Amino acid sequence: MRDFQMNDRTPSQSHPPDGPRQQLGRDGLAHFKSLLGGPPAGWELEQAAFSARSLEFSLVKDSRRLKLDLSPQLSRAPAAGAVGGCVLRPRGNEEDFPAEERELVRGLAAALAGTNFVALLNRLRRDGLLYSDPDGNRAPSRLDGYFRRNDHRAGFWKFVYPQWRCLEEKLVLGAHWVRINYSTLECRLSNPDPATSSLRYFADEPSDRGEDGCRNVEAVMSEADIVGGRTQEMLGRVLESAAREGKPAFVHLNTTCMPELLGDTPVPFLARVEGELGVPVFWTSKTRPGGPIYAAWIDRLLNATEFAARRDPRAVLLAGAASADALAEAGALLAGLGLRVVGNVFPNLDFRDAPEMGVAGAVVWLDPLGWETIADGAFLRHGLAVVRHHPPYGLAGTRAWLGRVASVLGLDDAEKAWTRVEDARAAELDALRGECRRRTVVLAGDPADVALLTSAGRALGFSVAGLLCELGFNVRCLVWDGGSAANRRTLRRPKTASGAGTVEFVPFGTPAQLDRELGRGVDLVFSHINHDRRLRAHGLMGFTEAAFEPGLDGILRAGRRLLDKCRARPFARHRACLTPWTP
Amino acid sequence: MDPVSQSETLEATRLPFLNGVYVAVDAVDGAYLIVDGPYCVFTKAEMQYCHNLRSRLIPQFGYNRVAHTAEILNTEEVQSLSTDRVAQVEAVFAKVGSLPDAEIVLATSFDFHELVNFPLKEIARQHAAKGGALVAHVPSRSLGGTWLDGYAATCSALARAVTLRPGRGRKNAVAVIGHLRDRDEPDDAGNRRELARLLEALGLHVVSLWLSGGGRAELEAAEKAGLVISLPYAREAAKIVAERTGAELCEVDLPLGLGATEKFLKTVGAHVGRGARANKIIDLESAAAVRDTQAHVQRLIAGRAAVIIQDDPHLAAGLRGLCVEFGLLDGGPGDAGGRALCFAPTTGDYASDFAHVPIGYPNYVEHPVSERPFLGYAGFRHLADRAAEAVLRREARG
Repeated sequence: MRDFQMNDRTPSQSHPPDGPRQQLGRDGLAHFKSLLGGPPAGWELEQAAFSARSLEFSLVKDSRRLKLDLSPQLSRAPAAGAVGGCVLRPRGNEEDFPAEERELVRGLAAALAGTNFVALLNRLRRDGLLYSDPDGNRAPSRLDGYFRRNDHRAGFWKFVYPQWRCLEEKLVLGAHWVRINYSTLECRLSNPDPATSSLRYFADEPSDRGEDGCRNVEAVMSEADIVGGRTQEMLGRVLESAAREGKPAFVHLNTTCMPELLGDTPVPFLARVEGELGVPVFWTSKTRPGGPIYAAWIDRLLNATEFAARRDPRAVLLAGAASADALAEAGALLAGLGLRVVGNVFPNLDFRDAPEMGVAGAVVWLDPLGWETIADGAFLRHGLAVVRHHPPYGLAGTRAWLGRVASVLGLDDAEKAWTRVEDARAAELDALRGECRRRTVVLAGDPADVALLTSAGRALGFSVAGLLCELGFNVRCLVWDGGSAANRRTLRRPKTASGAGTVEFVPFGTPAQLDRELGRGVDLVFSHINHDRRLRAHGLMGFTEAAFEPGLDGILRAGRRLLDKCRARPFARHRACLTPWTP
Repeated sequence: MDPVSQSETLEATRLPFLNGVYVAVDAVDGAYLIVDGPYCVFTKAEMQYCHNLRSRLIPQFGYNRVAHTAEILNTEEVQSLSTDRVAQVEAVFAKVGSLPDAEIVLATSFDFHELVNFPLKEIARQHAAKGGALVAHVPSRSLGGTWLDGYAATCSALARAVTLRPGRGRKNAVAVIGHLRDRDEPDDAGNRRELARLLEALGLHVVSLWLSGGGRAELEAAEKAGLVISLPYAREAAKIVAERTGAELCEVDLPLGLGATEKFLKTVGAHVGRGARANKIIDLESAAAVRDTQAHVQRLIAGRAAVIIQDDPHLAAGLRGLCVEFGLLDGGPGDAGGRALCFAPTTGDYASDFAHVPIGYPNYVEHPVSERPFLGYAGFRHLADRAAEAVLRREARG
């Protein structure tokens, strides 16, 4: 319940009480290092992140890791005009630390005691990096909330099964590379053909068959290979064969459960494949954490890039643009700020495709959601500024994103750029809103699910309700009350104007009540289930967050797409004949 | 065999053991399957869900018909194998066994779970002894078996586990065991109707069809049969049932194509002493089928190359006979891009290279609304129809 923004009638951005957690950007990092005095000799600063209440960081030296929290000094009776200092606390019992480390902590605490925490945060926020926080308060992923459970009898109110995107699995290594999937046949055939998205259980499964430029090699170990103890040898042969055939630029080796269980490892073969054949091998595995692997790989690619002594502050790398349309619009938006895109990274990580990369001054994330495993540290270490913010979905989101890019990179005229972009689409948007205002879209679920859809931030990167209201839709949130009359009273909220549309909250407690609400003037329903029986019973179409695209052209396309779904309701005159879902 | 295989070859994708177990479980009403394995058990069930629009394996509201034993959070699957999982797996058995619609509970293992010495069979045996739902262990061949091995092994486990009393078989009552009921869609309904029609023409009445979508009662009705007709997808199960009930056993091949259908009728007819009747049926029905399809075959189909890409040897054999009857020539990869007909499932993008007739498992692209068998005389007509359509569609594309 704590995330449910019942008092916020306008579905918009919301964050937990201490605000979103951000990591330090290039300038913030440099400033904080200077406050730490270096950091102290022999120690490396790692994992620095802040929220409104504290700044957490680690100091690392060999195998030692000191985890420290910096927070504002709270005084019962602050003197008038006092700005307050900072308190530095180690995590764990300081008495257990070696004397040298206790001394280090005390020295840092003394040095930071006079720092104005608010001023420090303001400084760090200027180029802070907004991550979706894996430790933060968010709904269970589809893996935990669905796949790992066998029993789905009780979830008649569930429409929302968010899939935390793991986009690192979609990395592209240029125009000529090989991906080796090293597995058993049973493992390899654990999914339907990705081309069959209309048939899939969940509505947001990817429909792509593969990436251009990638040759997939399915290295399937047989029972005889396993029982005969030949799999390690086989792995070497597969790697060498993949590296020789057609001379790919890279090999991505993905090892799965069985080779992990058997202890197969490519390490003994890497020197030969990389050294003698000259083909870099990127190895990801089932049991090793992905983050450091990807970070090390990006570091390696960046180390091989020749950076200019003087960077062009107007040249940027665009990161996380998932489609050609998104790339085009992002390029145009950045051009409006006077920036030029010299390369597109994520999902493509072959930096040779961006020959001007060496002059780039910054990495600008369009949509960083799903890429959290891969931190920006490697870019920062190579002198690139990084803009990582909420992705530019919808009008408010695009405006905020432009403003953020401009402020981090020290540019003026973000508002002018925004006005030009908005004015160019005003007539089309007005016409679209005229149609959307005649439609009602349902967002349903328990309070946490509805909160997820009505608040922006770390989960989806945008508020679904907020974007629908920007388009002019009437948003009806059906909130499961858990069968409690008391909840029912507090959950209900009448229809209220929001953006160009309206929003209302209607509680339900039973399948019959939900069914009745779905039959009450509804045009479209959010559901991650691809062919949701509850919707089919009313001839309704479903949609997910995948309907939305970044940018203003993106929101216009999304609006048209959603209106098409509203119109595409089968069996208009025979609804009563449709199979009911309730017992 | 070279471990590196690439999609551009024309070899059929060999489907593994569990896929066949899933198909079998989906074909038995009231059956649940516990797979000692990771959550991928669910996503694998999705293959059947995409093949069968009426699949019951992963219902939107309910307990998954295919349940895994990895109902623990925050433990990586490979690492979990080194822990004591007995209580956790027993809890899954207890839960599934207590479901009101669970008539049959089967259990087997995912491949890397097959390697470790986990007492799944013993847990299944203990739960079988408790009464209630029928519990049976399907010995896993997930590492090396094919999907057809999985289907057959499931049928064998059922044949050993269900109640079958000897001496109750009736004359002219037959149990057909070893039918591949891959989905609850009208292509299979048409096949089942055609099998029953052919046998009725011989004066035989089907009292039990394995597998057919029926539940435990359908399986146990096999005890009423005086004759077990064994189709190729569960030979061992048919033998077990015949041995347990004392029924006679008659093994037949898949009646796909005119020649194979005629052989089916003759074999069964001879077994029950109605050979003359079988010949009479063949004379009438074969002549009618040829008349009905002659224009399609001679005008549109004959003379082309045919490519058969199947990992199901029984279906492939039937299709080879059919191609001869259609006047099709042996084809191969060199015929891609030309006028060749291709009989293959939808595991590859065959439609871009051939006039593709989707047939076999899985078939994601065709989900008929009306009955569309491929067995028997009715199936022969439909296959002629579909082959002609594939040819014309291919030609229209240029």
